[in-house]
Amino acid sequence: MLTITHANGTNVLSIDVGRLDAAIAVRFKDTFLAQELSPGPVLIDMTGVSFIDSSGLGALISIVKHLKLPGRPGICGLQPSVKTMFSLTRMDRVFAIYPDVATALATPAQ
Amino acid sequence: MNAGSILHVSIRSRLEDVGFLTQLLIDAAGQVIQADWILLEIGLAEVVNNAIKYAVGGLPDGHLTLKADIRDGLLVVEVEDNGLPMPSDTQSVFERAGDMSDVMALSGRGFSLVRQCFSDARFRNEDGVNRVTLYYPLARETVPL
Repeated sequence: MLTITHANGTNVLSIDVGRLDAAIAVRFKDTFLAQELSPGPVLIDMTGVSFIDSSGLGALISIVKHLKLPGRPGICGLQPSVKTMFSLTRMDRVFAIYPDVATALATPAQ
Repeated sequence: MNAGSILHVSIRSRLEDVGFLTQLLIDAAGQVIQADWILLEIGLAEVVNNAIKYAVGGLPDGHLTLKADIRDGLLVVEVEDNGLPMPSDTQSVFERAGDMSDVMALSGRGFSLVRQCFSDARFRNEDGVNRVTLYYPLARETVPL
C-alpha cells in the first residue's frame, strides 16, 4: 500500500493501491500515520494510483496537515483521472506537482 | 432510445465488500457514447459513495442500481437504492454546494464534484426508493457501431 524510500534527503512515499477511494481511505491514512519519516522534504509518488475520490483526497489532505511541513509537499506521477481530480479541486494550491520522481528530486524544494 | 442497465451492485453488509464501478457494461442501443469518462467516473463515484455511506451501508438487503439512458442529447444516469431515505432537503443542499475554495478541507467536496462533472442532478425519495438522476451533455454526434 505504501513504501517509503529516501533519495537526496527527501522522503519518497510511493502509494500503490490502484484506487484510493472511500473503501480504503481510512486504512490508508492510518497506515501512513504509523510510519516514521526522516527529517526533510516529502515527495508523494502517485504512479500506483489510477483513481482517487473525495475520500481519498481527504486522506491525503489529512496527511499533509499531520506533516506540518514548512512548504508544499511534492507530488508526482499523477494518472489522467487523478490529474483531473486535482484540477477540479485545486490541489495545485496544496501540492507542488511534478511529472515524475526524477524531475521532482531535481527541482529545488518550494 | 432504449438503453440498458449499466451496473447493478448488491450491497452485502459492509462498505469494504463493495468494489463499486468494477464493471461498467454499456448497452446504448448500438451507439458509442462520446463522453469524458474520467468526469463521469469521478461524479458517479461520489454519488455511489453517498448512497453506500448514508443509505445502504450496513443493510443486509441493501441494493444499489445504476441505469443509463440517452434522452435529447443527454446521457441520463439514475442511481437508485433501497436504503434509509435521503433527507428531504438534499436537492437544496446539492444546489448550495460550495466551490471548494477551502482546499485544505478534509471533507465536503462530494456534491461540489457532482456539480462540476454533470450539467444537472435531481435527488428525490419516492415509494421507498432513493433516486439520484444525473444529466451529462453528450458530444454533438454519436457514432453508430
